[in-house]
Amino acid sequence: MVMKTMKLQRKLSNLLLILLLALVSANVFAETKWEVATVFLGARENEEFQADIESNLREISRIKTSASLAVTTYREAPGKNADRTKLLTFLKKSFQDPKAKKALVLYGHGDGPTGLRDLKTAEIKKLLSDLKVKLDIIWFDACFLANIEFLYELRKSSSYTIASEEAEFSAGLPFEALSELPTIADAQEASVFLARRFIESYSYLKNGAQTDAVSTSSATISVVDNKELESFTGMFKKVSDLIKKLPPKDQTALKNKLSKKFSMDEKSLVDLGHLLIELRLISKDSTVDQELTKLIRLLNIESVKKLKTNPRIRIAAPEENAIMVFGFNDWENGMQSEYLDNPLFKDILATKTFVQGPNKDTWPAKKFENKSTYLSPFAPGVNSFDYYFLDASGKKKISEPVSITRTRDVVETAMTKKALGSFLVYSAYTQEIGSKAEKYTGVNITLFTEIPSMDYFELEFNQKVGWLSL
Amino acid sequence: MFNKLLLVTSASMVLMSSSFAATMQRKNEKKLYVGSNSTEAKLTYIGVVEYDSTKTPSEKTMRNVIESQVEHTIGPMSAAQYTAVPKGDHVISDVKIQSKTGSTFKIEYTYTGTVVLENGPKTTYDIILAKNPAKIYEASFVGDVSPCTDEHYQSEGDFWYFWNPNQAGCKLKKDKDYIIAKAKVERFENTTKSYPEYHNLPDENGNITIHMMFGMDDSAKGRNPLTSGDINAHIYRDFRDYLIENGYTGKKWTAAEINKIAKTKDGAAPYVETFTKGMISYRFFFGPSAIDEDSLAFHWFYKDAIENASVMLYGGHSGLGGHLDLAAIEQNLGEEIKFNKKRYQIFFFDSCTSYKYYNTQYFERKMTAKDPKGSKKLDIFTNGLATYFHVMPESNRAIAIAFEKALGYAQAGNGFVSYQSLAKQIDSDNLFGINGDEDNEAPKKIK
Repeated sequence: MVMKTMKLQRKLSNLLLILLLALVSANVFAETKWEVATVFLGARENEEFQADIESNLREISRIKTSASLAVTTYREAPGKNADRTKLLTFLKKSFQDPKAKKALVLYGHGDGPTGLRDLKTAEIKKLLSDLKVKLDIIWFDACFLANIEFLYELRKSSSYTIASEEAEFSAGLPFEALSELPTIADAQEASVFLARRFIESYSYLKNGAQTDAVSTSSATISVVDNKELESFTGMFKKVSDLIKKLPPKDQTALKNKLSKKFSMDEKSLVDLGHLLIELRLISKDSTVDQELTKLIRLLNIESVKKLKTNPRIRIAAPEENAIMVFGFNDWENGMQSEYLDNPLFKDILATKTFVQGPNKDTWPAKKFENKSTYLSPFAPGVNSFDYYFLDASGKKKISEPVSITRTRDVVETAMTKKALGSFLVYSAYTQEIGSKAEKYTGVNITLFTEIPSMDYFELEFNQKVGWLSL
Repeated sequence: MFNKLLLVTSASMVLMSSSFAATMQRKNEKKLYVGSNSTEAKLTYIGVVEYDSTKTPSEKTMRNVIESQVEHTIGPMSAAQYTAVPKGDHVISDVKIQSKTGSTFKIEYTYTGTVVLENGPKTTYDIILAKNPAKIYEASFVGDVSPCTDEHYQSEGDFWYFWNPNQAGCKLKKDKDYIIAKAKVERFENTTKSYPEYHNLPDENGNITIHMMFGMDDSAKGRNPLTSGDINAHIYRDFRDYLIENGYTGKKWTAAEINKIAKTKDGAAPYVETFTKGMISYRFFFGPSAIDEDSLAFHWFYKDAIENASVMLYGGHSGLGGHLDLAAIEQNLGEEIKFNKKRYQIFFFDSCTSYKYYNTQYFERKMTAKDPKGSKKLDIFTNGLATYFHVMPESNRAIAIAFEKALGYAQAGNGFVSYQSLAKQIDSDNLFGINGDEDNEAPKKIK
């Protein structure tokens, strides 16, 4: 009897072990179901634009869908008027499982607070309101839509928004990244994962798949926690009041500096972080200073110094009036013919002098009038800077060749401390020529001197903050 | 020696480091962005124009010849690498005869005017000037066709608008047929705001009447805007729906009501409706508006709008200025259009390059001794460059809705919408012109 009981117990414990193992492995291999809808706007755009869409559609067609991943696609018929009813029907069909995570990708020409060229902000808001489904992620695969006014208007449509602060390449996002979503259960984690994949796809150092689209500019990406926008915007009202109270001279100076140094390709949009930093510089009131610092920190900017994220190199000449002969990528690029053809090299270091150098080629040369200088010699695709010195006569080599290699071309900033109003979960950019890309802190805003359209005036952000007046 | 290098951030130094895949071919980046890429600019250049005559030309003649040459800058400017469009506010000064060879006079002048100029040129801009505007059209022909202009618009009357010596097949030669003047460019931002005189819009009964004149794109399409496939019928329906959604009550006009205004007709009756909410009343007209179509009914309603409306908004083809030419319309009607010189009005012309066509002739009709420019009682809002008709209705709708909202703000005392904000609504940036606003009264709440 005892033996029988023991046997039974052993059997039972074995069964329990199997059950436990089954449960554990089920958890390990459990996948989260994701429904992803991709929408391509731009029916009236030209053939080139349509070709870009087709290329993106081919990428999507290579994604392996499964029980855990459904990816649907909607494209406006080229040349036809947009049909919002069809679009809404498509979205309703795409998001049917109440238990699934839901992501929407909208591809098209973006324009900051205006929204998309073919789907204005108010239309997007209405569409998503009519959809009556709270989305986990919306990815605006478009330009300038990491824009505070736009984000605030659509804050209730999804938990997280992924968007670009600067103009985005028409190559858009690397759609194959969507295939990994079932391995991620958390929407914030998934958003950051997708944003990282996006930025890496434009990185030369990471052999990104979309570097073909890049020659001089940055790719930028931001992940926004929409529930925090309300608090941030509440605090931001102070900024609007502060700017309005500035003496006209200070207002003009602030506007000029922002336009010149911190504007996007669309000049009416400027970096929000730098707006706050520059405003703080003008402020003479310690309480205001503290309030602005609080807002700046909510954008994950711990200190202004840390915004200098691109390499600066101090190069010292061995002797006065020495001539630096230089090239790029281990003397593979930047020889005279390439230098004269591609303005990128001139933007890095301008010269009109060329001398005979490595690889039996002629190379740009720069006389050092001072003993040393600082350079930011990197750019998209330019990952090493090579140089040596000749004497003042240009005949005698007076130094060995040096090659300086950069170790990263992507700058990432993640939220370090969760606080009320810290809406920016993650932001990143790829470096552009020199240190130009250091203006991106994640979100843009319309320059305060702009004249608003009626639509802008009526945006919730503007009504709450009083940013632009009619 | 190399230790003097100081690396500040994330670069590392190596002696002759490993190589990179070096593919540095120039690439044109393509962005998901189509933005406003132009600003207003002041353009100044010294022009020279030829004039053939046995007599020394008078100042007036010289100015006419110059104006003809200036008009001929439109075609090349709109086809240039950096497109530009004159705003029509230019001043011609320092007019003088530079030289005379045989019977050809060379007249020199200085041009100063505002243009909308695509981003790019910052200091100078090449202006193509027809050497002799009276001869350029004829000189452009190769056989029976002029390859220098639009293949569909081959007439001399359309030439100034479409010609471009750089067009494929064009045989016009630099220095022989045209010259290039280096214009000085001074770009500026226009942030000055001006406002409609909202408080002066109501008539003597306190009503604000807005006449929406929808000119058909294609008069062969259905004449009922509620069912027509005409492009402008879509905007008719859109704006109609908007008004109804916002509490306006609509009423379709009967044939008898239409006939009271359109005393004569040369085609099917137009479709007319009125939408009213409180003191604001919209009249919608839909029908052909081209001068060479059965547009008599349109002309009667247009006359009525000009004479009686607080606001008139025309959306349709401009016909290079011909469709709304007052003299041509009056000739068609056999009646004068009597402008109300005592009443403040706003006219919106939402058609191709309208700021060029619909300014002076309208202001002239409002002139009085006290208002020699005719601008005190009239503001004219003109819109942009030549544009595709399918794009225009969107701006027409946007401006109409924005203005309806602006009236609501002014009525409720919730603020006044500037002309510049209205223009922003149609995404036109600087591609708009407001004339007559310079002497406007500060806006007040509509009583």
